[in-house]
Amino acid sequence: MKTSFMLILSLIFGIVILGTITLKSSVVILAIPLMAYLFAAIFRRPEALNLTITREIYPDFAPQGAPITVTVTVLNEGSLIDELLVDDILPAGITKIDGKSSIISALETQGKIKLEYTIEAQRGEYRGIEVAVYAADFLRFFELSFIYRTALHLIVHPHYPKLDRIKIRPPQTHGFAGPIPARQGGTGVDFWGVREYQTGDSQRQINWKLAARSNQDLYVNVFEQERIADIGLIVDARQRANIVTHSGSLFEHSVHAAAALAENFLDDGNRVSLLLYGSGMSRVISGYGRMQRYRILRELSKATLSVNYALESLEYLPTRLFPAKSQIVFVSPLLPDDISVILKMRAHGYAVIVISPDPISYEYALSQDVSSTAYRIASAERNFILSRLRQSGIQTVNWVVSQPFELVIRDTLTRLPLVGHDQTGRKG
Amino acid sequence: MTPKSLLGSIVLTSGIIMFANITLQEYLIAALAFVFGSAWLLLEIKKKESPHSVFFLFFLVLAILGSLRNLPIPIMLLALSFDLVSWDLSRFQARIRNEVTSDTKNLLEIKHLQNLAITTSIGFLVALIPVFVHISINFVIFLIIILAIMLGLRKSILYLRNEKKSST
Repeated sequence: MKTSFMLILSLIFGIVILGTITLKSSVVILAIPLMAYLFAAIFRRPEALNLTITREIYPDFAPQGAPITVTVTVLNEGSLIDELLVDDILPAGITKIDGKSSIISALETQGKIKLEYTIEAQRGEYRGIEVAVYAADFLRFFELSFIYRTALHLIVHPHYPKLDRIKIRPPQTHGFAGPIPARQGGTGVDFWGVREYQTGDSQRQINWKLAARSNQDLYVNVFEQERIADIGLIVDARQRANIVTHSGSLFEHSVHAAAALAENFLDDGNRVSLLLYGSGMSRVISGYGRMQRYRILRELSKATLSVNYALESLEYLPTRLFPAKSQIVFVSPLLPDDISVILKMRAHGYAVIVISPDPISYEYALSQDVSSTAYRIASAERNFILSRLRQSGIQTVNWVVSQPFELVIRDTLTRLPLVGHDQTGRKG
Repeated sequence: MTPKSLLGSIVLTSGIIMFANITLQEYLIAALAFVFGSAWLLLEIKKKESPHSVFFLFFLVLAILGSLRNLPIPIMLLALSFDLVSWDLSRFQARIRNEVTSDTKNLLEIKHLQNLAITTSIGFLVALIPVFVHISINFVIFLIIILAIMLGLRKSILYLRNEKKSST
């Protein structure tokens, strides 16, 4: 019952009492239209709601910032409702960009109302959006309210740039043809060496210059085989390693980078797996192709920073999840304690690439105070960490997140790695 | 459709009260009715949030005053009915102000206006019955009837309250 109802009720009582006191029937009569008004409200009040609410979302798997169309249909399977307010409650992270997410209408039996609007959402997985429904009599004195939860599965994956082909050289490759030099002679593009001619070798492979110099021996050119590899992506989701400011989080950059890298490696036909290390250890086991891309993006869309005291250190990083001598790409802002674990991975025979979004420049970009002693000490410490990694033959990319990721990758990882790896995304 | 009806009912409410008070040579009250009516009208034309309950109470008090001063009952009933309609439409207008014009909104407005017209007409007609049909009853019986009506109202309110509690 609302204030307006109480107002009318009090007025009726007041008028009747006043009429009785003054003995004026003409005053008492004035209460009759108010009574009729009140009784109409009581007569038309909604008894029970029997609504079927369905929701359609297109597309239900979209990149961050893409427009998504939401259609909500309300079907009345009960009696006539004089006034029905349907209000779609958008969860945090979703913003309406067009259309209306609430409607007020009269709804007859078997009547339908449709809400259609466009949203854009931040990275995440959304399950079930609530719809608030208020049914009232036409005078809005009595109101019934319900919250319906509609089944929904919307995945908004990180928006990522298209990268140039990243050239890697893991110690071990798979048997299937791919783009990665396999350190074995066979058919390929790049010259690998020569060997003596054997019966069955194609004449086109004969190295005629070498044959001319030798005494009746023939030699054939051998090319380096190109195969696919196992690649393990590790994303550091530890809160203490990342920086969260009022304007955003460094972790978002790590997630976007991981998505771009996964897409790039999968496009080359490689077998890619993902490990999110932080709150727990969410994992996508190795796989190929579009389905694997979907799995990885879904996992990345759910990724959040959190504190797990058991996983504060990289000590418990389960490297055994990745095949021996495979390529590991570690996306992390890096902490001083992490060096030993990464070096251990290298020692175990993994080829390691570290993509490190620079937390120092990210944090100091907000204060603009790059001349402070604190900044200089932090930068020196970070340079020390990075140089230790580079000295150990680990490809290290120091990514100042204000620079586009694709440009940093083009400058650093699109050439085949040499024996000593010294890559930096920051000039100067 | 609703804005036109609302403006019409505000004009009629203040007009009737003004006219009735002018005939009684109560120029101050007539002027007040004019000022309040104009203010309400202006706020509704400018589509601003109006203190509709204050305006409603003001005109209701004027209608009661008119009845106490023996102004014709049908005129006061008419003024009160239009006052009620204005108040209701003003609230309704505030609820649907942000809705985009569509078939759904038109249907809602038509249904509301129909229901309101029926309710107010019934209330007005029922109130007219005691004006034309005079029954002389004992004051005690009259009091008993009033008490019975009030008790009935109280019971129905209590019933509704309990029903709401049990449903939640």
